[in-house]
Amino acid sequence: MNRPFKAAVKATYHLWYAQDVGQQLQGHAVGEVKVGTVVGVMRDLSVSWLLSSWECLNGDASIVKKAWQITGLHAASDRQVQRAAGKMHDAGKLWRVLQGYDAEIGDEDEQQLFSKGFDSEPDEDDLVPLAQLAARATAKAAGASLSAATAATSIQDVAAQATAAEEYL
Amino acid sequence: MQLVPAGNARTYHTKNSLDVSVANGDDKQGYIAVLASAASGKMLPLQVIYGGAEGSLKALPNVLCRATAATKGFVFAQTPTHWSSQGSMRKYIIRVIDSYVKSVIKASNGQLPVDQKAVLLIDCWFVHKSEEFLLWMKEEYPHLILLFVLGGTTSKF
Repeated sequence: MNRPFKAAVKATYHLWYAQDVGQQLQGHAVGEVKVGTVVGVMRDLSVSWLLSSWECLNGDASIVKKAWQITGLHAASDRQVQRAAGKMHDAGKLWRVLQGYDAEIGDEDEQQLFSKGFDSEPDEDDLVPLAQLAARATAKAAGASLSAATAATSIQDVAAQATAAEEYL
Repeated sequence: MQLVPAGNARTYHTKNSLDVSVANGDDKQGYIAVLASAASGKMLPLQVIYGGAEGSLKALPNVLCRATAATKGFVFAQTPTHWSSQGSMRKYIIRVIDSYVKSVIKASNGQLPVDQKAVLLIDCWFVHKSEEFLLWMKEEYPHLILLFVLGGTTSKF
């Protein structure tokens, strides 16, 4: 989010500079053009540049939402991710999995994934949903079809995908 | 005026000259714009920090400029280094973050409790991590859950 904001500030600055020079060129020779860039003037102008840039970003919520998506926090309210997080003890690995998190996993999938309910102590079956999440994340990151990752239904296949995901991550 | 970058404090001007102008090397004004956004996609008002003695307003833009921005909720501060300090961060939390959280609670028309918890994800600036700031947050805003962006990854967001 910093980058688009800085780009917007630069763009508004360039616009101001071009307009100032353009106006002066209408009544003066090129050699007489002088842009006021002393600290006091620039400091006052900087407020209007910041305001314009802020309004520009505020007008496009998709940029902000995208930034939040990258943090992985958007997934924190998802029940299945909460449960997966409860079973994953490596925070760094979980974060990487969330980078590929697909918010469009349906309720039906979730029911299949967590039909057993949540236990504080994970067992072999509980680890399957996390493995499947990781497999989907890997498939997404690799640009492969999501359906290819979800096609495997047996625990053995999911476990194999999880192994592949571990290697990828 | 020197146009050739000479580095450090040296130029190619005559030795012992008292006043040497350097292109883009003088009259600089650094400032920090503290950005924050809500997960809803809304940008929160900026806090703009200029360099100058804390408590003084000399380094700030003129009143008219500030008043225009203040109508949008912008907050201005002045610190010796133009970086966030304990004082400026507290001002930011009170005037921007807490105000926003309260406005969301109010807009929910009673659907959210008054002490609704909220997550504040901030970067690892040393002021943010300081015990003084963390204790202050805990005492004043226990409903704000502080999370830190992983070190060195702020630019990824």
